[in-house]
Amino acid sequence: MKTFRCQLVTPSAKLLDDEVSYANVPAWDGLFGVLPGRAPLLAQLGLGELTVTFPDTTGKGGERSYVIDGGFVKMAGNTLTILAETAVPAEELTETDAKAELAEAEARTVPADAADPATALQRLSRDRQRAALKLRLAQTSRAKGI
Amino acid sequence: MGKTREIKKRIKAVGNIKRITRTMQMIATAKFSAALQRAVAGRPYADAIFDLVAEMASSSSEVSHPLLATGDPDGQTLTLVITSDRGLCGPYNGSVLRTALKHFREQAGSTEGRIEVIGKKGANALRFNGVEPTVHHTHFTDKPVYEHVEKLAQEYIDLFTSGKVSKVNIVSMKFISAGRQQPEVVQLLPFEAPEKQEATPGSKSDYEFSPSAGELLGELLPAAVKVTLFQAFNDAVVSEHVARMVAMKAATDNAGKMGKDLTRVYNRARQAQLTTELTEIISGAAALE
Repeated sequence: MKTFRCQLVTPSAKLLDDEVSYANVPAWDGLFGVLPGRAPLLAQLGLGELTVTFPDTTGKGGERSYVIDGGFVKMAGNTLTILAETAVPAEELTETDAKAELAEAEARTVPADAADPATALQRLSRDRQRAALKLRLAQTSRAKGI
Repeated sequence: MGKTREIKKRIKAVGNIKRITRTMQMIATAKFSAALQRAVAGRPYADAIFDLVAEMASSSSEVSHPLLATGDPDGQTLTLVITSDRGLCGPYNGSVLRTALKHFREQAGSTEGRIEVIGKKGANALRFNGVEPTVHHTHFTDKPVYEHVEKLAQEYIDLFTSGKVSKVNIVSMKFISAGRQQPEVVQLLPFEAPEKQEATPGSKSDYEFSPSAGELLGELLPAAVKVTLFQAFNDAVVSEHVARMVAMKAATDNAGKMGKDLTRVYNRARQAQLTTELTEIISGAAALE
């Protein structure tokens, strides 16, 4: 089975550096899939779920998911480098935490004295989306029994 | 009698100090390795971002971005001085502050600009030297969190792009190796694009850009600025712990040596005392005969 190297790094840690057979990456304008030997690409990341599929040969098999938000992705020479500003592995998400985060984000409003209300609103809705995504992932991973 | 008791007291005091400094040394060692691990963990991200910026800068011939533009030369400057909250770390704060004060002396007008400082030691020392910091950030601990640093960097980027500040400098300790740290002044903004390493001809791949190359560079530069600042913070923390480790090791060694010397003096004094007492007894007995 053909594979490619996939690295996931954040400013504070290296989360993944492994051979994978497929990666589903959330770019700024939507998800895109990466298969081995993809043409060189440089793209900006958005908010979403990153899924990598491991080949069965390594004995690990299966998939792993991360919630990532912002950053860049580079594919060159059969190496996919994902530079995420934040990345949380799905297995570290819990429903209670995600619910609390979502409730906190929903309860927050744009302060009236905000210097830039448009950006503040954008940031707030992004926080809400992120929390909702975390909750959804936590629920699915629980349903799968992980 | 009085003399020996006094020496004994000092030996005890030196021993207590030694115990404290040795503990501090061990704590600093543990903190140093944790901080170093964090700093190393962040390096791949930083390297990759800088690589990307260099690659982008070389692929598009004309690079222009607000963060690269030289600001108004007479504009206000902003200087961020990174020091520690706690002392007992040898020359760490002193050398950073000396560099900062030298910078203020040499760069005309930098004392009139905004001066931001991190760490109690720096704030106090600058005030003592007649430089009043505009802002004293206190929420940065010795475990820098990217989110906090990112917010600070965003603030600087906003100040810079709105033209309120024409230059942002950081004065901090650069960590070169466990045995070498150097205070330095780094220009954060306008951002200096890293030099493109000599690319081997033919290896240059034609990237597919999403969004367009220009927009991507526009997003990459702020990320590069943020990660530069984050690295400065990480370096400062690692250097602080190394400096404390070295200072406390020296203190422990000195306390050990002092304890040894004092014990020798004590033994000599005790012997002298015994001799005097014996002489007194013998001469007393001789007088009775």
